[in-house]
Amino acid sequence: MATGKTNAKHITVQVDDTAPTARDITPDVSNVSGTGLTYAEQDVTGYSDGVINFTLGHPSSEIEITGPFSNTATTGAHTVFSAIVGHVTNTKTVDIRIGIRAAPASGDPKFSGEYYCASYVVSGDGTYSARMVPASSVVPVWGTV
Amino acid sequence: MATGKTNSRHFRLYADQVDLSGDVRTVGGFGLEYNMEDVTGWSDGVVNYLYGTPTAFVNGFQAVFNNTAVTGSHTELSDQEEYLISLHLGIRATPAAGDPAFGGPLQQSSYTVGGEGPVIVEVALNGPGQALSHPSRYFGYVAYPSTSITVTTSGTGVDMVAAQASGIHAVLHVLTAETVGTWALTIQESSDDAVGDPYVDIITFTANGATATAERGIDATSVERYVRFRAVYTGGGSTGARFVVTVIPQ
Repeated sequence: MATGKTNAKHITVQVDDTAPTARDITPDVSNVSGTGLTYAEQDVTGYSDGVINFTLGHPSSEIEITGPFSNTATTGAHTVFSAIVGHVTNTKTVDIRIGIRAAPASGDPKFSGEYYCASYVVSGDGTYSARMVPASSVVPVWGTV
Repeated sequence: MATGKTNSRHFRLYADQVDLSGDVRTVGGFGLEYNMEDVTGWSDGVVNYLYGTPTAFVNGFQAVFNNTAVTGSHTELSDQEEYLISLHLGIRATPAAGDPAFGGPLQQSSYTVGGEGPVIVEVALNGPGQALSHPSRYFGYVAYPSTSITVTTSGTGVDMVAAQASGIHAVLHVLTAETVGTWALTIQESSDDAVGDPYVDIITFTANGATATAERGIDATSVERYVRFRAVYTGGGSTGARFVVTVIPQ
């Protein structure tokens, strides 16, 4: 495990297929956005308060994965996402690992949770976009590899 | 069939009985987007969802204006109707059997003409019209790439990875009609690509190749792992017919 800053080239992305079996789709990912939790903010400011202040509600976690279209057998992004979009039989584990200036190693940060694939869209420029949303009441978490 | 990454120059788009690939130059996106219903309760740890109803669409679809009779983009798309669409995604080459595809009925919601320099047409396709047999999925496989044939032909077997418990939809495009005899057009299944289990018919299209048309065939029962397109010719010397077929596991 290293510490410090890093580059996105060292991020890996695994998404369950329909089985569900984890598939490493990293070669077909060029961007992952929304990794983490965003809490609903409830403004609870009263007349006498010195500043606008909030309580926090439920966190949300919507992850968008984009990259080049690929139908590589088993692990291609198209192979995985075209099968799991709308697939209700089970939830899909999304596992995003952030390697620190190298491939992810034990102790490096990771974010994971159980998701559904809410949309899978292929674009005319040969890329795709997939949106993952939480599928259970269990909060996705930051942890380590 | 190849696998891996590709470039959109190898895509081909068919709408009803027309190959629009020579006019199309941009497709913004195509796929399925589900309405996700928020089912979060007070005690839940995170905002969570259940699947609602999906929308199938092709957006950002642009083609060069072309009013060539029958096959031009303007001629075909200015009708504003429901089309049977097949979008074949060739993998670094012209589409081949087994390559990925997107296909099914989609209703046209807009048609506009404009542009600077070459005149272009823009089209939005959003979901099927009202019907009793909507598909639930749109991503599938090229079963038969655009090919003109003059004799009885069996397409290459397409491996759907597993048997399909919810069946398949098949979209047939007859791009060029036969003018002498007729064609019996079917989709066949086999559990092992005819190694020990011969292909048998599961969908028989009404179309007989004598008219340029498009048709969707449905088998809602369990379908075996491999499927293929078969065209059987009856009659005198064929003038040739061009077919395109897409299969979509449901």
